[in-house]
Amino acid sequence: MWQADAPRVLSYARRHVGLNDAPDVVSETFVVAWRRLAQVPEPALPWLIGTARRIIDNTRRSDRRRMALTQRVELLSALAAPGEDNSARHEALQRLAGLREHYREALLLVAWDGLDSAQAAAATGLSAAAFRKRLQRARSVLDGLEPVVHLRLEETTP
Amino acid sequence: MKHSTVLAQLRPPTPDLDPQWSAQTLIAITERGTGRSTARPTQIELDHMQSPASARRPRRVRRAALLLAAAASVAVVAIPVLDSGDAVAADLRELSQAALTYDSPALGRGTWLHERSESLQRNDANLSDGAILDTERETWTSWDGQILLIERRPSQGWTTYNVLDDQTPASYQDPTPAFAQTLPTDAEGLRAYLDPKVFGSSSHSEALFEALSGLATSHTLPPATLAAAYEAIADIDNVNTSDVQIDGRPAIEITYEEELTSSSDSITVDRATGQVLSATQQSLQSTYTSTTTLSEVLDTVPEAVLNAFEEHEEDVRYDTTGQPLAD
Repeated sequence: MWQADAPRVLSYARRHVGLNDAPDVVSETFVVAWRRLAQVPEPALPWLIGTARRIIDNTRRSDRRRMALTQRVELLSALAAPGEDNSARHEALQRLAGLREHYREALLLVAWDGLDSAQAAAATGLSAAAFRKRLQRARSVLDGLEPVVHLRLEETTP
Repeated sequence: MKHSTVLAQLRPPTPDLDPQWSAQTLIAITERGTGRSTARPTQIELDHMQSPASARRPRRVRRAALLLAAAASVAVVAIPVLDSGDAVAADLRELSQAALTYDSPALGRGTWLHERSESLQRNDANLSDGAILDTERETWTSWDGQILLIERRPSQGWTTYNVLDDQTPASYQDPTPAFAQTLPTDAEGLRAYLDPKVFGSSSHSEALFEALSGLATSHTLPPATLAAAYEAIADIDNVNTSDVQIDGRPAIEITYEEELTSSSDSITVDRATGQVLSATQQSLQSTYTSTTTLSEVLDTVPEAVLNAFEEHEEDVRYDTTGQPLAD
């Protein structure tokens, strides 16, 4: 489980807390898994990502740390695979960083973490139908088909 | 190129673990996890912790399905799985032929696809919130994809009225009747069209199955395209078929299993008509089944339905007496 899934949990955690703090999230996630080993499903990745998500949420609540938009762009750019078209890459990541957190999470759970809609719905506590609707809206906003009404600084200050 | 397409291409490579950090962390975890620094895991526990996911195969689960346009509950009898490649291919060829010859009502410009479905989602009590979500949906879909949607949750007594018309361009993920007419009508062409487009799954095979089964389940495909979709599914790895009898009516359940995530997707197809009766998504966290109970083509949306949408606000839940519920 460690060899197979720790790298992918690390990848998820890097996206949310940055490169420096991500290993701590991975460690905490596997501590929980270790304590509840009998309950960990096979394979464990969706469960591990859900656990990491809760750990990150709790950390953020406790220290009220928020990432500024420019920092989010830099982080996503550092993590994303190189693209052939740099301007398209930059614009896509810029728009992604500007989305509301729940839209960005929906898009990336599917596009980057490889979860299907049902798994991502369970990880986010939504019904499958609600998640699909959220994902559809998120894609629409990302693609500029709906106005980006939430490109604001609500997550940039404590 | 759309930003969402670019985004899919930017999926980060999986990072390598630092071997030293990895080893030290694993030891620290086992010590912290037990709460006793002197405690050591058993060999069985270590094997479980360190074994690759691919070495552990999920248990196969059979599910029930309901009959198109049938009333309420019916008995489902599962017949042994046909899991050889030849048997799967034969089943899908049969469904392809049935779809090709079935005289289904034709969708055309100005017509509406009217459907009713019942879905049930069961969230796992340990890995999720244990909720059971029942939803009845009724939709009227226009030629260009506008959807009038009524959703009901009988267990909670609410109903919503929404018009889905967000101008998202039609795609294989959200096919409109008009878009479905433009898809290739042969298996090779359909596969060539989808191969570079599908994304967002644990494997390319899973993404292809999801795309093809989603198209079939949309009930928007012309007969030749639906037939091609079944033939294309026959070429995907990890696909199995099984016979099910639904209230005495033969059907075939087509299942794709993804080992990486212990999940499976399936559609159940009427042998006689080649039409999809139900779709199921199963993961460790939840099982979701949607069964189509009515699918018909109308020339117009009934006036009473249009009035209902006039009288109700979107994204508001109404109780059984028609009064809006508080958030």
